[in-house]
Amino acid sequence: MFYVKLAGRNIHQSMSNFLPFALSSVVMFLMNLMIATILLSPSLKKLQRWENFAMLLSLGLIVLTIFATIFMIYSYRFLLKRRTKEFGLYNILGLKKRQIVRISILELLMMFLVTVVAGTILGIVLAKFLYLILINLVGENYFDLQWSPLAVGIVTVLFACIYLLLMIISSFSIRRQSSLELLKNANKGEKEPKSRGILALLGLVSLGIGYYLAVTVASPLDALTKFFIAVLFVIFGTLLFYMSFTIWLLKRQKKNKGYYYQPKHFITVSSMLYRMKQNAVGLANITILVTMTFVTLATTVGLFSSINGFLNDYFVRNTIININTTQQQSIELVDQVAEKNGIKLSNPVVYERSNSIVGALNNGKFENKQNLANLTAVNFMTAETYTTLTGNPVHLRGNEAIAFPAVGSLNENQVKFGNRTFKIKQKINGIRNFPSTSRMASNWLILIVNSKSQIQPVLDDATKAAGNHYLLGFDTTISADLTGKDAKKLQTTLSNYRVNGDAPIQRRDDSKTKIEQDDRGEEKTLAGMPPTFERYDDMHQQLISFAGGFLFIGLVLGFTFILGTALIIYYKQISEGEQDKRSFEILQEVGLSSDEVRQTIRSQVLLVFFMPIGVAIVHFGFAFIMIQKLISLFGTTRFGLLLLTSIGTIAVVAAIYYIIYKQTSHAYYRIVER
Amino acid sequence: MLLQVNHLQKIFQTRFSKEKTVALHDVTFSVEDGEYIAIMGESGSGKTTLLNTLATLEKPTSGSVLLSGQDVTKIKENKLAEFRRTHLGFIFQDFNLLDTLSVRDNIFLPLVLGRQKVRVMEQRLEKLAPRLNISDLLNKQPFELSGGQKQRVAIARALITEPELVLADEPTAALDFKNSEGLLTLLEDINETGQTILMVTHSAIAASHAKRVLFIKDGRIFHQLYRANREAADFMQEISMTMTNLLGTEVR
Repeated sequence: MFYVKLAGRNIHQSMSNFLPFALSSVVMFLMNLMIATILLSPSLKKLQRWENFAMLLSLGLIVLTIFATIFMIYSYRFLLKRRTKEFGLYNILGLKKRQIVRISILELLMMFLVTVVAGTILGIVLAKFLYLILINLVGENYFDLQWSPLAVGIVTVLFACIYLLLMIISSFSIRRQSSLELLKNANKGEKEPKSRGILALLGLVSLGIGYYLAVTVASPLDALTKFFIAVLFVIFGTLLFYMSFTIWLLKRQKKNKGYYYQPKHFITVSSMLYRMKQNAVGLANITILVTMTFVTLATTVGLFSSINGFLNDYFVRNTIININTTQQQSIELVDQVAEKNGIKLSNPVVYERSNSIVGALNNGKFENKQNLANLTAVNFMTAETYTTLTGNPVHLRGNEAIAFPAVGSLNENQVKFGNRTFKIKQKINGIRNFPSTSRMASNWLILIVNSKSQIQPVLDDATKAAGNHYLLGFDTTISADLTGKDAKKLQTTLSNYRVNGDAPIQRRDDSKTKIEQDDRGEEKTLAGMPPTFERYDDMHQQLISFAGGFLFIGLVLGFTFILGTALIIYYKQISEGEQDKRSFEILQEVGLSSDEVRQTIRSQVLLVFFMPIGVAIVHFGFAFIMIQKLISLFGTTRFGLLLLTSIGTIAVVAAIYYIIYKQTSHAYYRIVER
Repeated sequence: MLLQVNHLQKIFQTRFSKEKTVALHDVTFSVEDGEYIAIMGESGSGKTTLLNTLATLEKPTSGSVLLSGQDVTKIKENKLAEFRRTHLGFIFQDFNLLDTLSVRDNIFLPLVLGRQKVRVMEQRLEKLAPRLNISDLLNKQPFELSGGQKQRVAIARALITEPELVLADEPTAALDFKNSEGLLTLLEDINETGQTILMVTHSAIAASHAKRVLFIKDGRIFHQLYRANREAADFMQEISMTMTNLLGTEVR
């Protein structure tokens, strides 16, 4: 009982030490609980495509748990460090180490109880609020969330494990130190850090490789595979950068006597140099966290906000029907079916183009091989079709062509397919009544050439390269505005037809689902395929729920990352304030005016504080190129919008960061000021 | 006359209580150029308050402190740091070296703050270092030094600005006997070259190395002794006697 009392009194008395720890513990518990509650709630299953959300939420939960573990350990070690003196006093006054360990375990148990109780109550209330956000983001209106005891149970067990880990850490670190060591402050002298040239070089090289990977990404699929490698390189490089490069730079500044022996630089450079060693890891952590926040938020916000733009680019009319045969046959079929069922197609747009050939486009040379790094889909269109679509007459002679690089870019004046070369007469950046974006994960190039006879040999080559499984030819796209009812009827009827290139269209009585069952390559091709059908509303719903789910997880993670950053910074400020307190006293006695003190503090704190954000912005700048490619995987490639949302998110995060900075620097001033 | 202290009074009053504590009653004395003066008193006698007032770290309630004719109590707050830097040198009980700076940079500190040229700083250090026997220590960090070495570095920092007055606050308190003796002899040598030193101490041994000793008790100067040409040991006996008789305390 005595120990319980002592532990309780300890927490009560050093509230200022325990409060940040308690806060981070409760908030981490809360975030985990909210996600778990939504994940386990039966009402989630009532959403469309709930499996997607469930997967996203589980992923989020895993990330959050890992983050919570790391973060709680960080917080607790800080707490322990600040209390070594107290424990040392107990030891000298006659408590055995075992008993001190018992006290600290009791303290942790109390914190755990507080966390579970406060976290559960807050969690039940706030989960509803969070769920409301999710529902709104994915564009549904069904709202009913029950709190789930199972979720509370799971998260409590998770945190029990984390606390158990903390108890182990505490008992180890208390046992390891001798009583005098415990009593003495952690103010041990340190040797000035050596500059480690090789490490600095390695850090720069590592950053360089990460950046290079990001910059040279050629296509979305390439970005996906390279993303994680680049991230690893950049994390490693950041750590080395702070550990060595900054020390090396500061040392160089110190060697420059004219620069170093100026009041402004003298104190800042020397104390940064002194601090760099202790805090390189802390700064690297903050930088990586801030970068993670940027990337998470910018990606998800960018994805979400570019949906409408994508749909507008893709849907020339609200319904798109694609039929794998010539224009003539297609129109006949659709007209006939529409007439029979009394369906009206308003504002129809019809065009014919070649089937896509997919391969690697390198320096204007197209090869029929699947290379992730520069995967490009090419469609051909005749000048005649182009003129009908746009109303612009074009005159192409011989092997001249007009290029429309809808996704990606084309820098060369010619495109070579085997031994056939097309000379690019003109590059355009849009075709009227033609989509300017594709749903494919690759780059997309449209070539307008004089006649079909020029195209067929290229298609035949591609067929041969693909193993003669099915013939490549021309397909027809019919876009029109249809009412929902008509569209449904048309789709059902058309699904009974089998289209196979130039072969006559056949009618089958078995349903479309049957065909999907033997969707295994050749058989399907032999039988032909039903016309494909895409509707604006369907795809809108699908994309919104997908991107909304992503945005939701992005917001939750982003919030948690910012919170984590804030706490790490707060801890840094406090511990540095305590270290610097004595230095500033001495400086003032020797003859530093209080104005100069304030200036020095400001420039020091500012540098240490904004260096992470500066580095994070540089990181993000390179990540942006990748993010852009990654997002275009999901069918959106709007550079301007993405740039805008990215700048927006950076501004918002930076503003929050600034508020944190203001608050924590108050704490620093309070400690340092005489 | 270098320093003239006139009717100095200092009353402390905490913000939330009406109770007043008088630290200095009415202190008047003067210091000639080239003097080495020790102010002796026990804990709570007001000697540290007196030193802090002379050091412009505290403002007196009334009275004046004239250093080379300038009233330091009238100097504006934002000019004080500069004044301390250029006119005064400090030696502290616990050395007050900055851990973040090397020994050399600790010594340079006041000059750097005074925006002195690097060449001047190096020239002065070159002259000073052999005298204080710290030439080998310059590139070390403070935590690598012994107490005596640290105090010699602190003295170098106090002297490098070539101040009119060096103020020493219990400079031997954190040192063992041997180091104390060495340091006191060193301060005497420095005084021989014409440097004015004012030391505050409660140690009769430390005080016995000064040329003149003032005794302070309850915020008042009670008595003063001149060393004349006596040996430090003889002088110390008289100081001890005086302490016992006048101040009614035992001398440690």
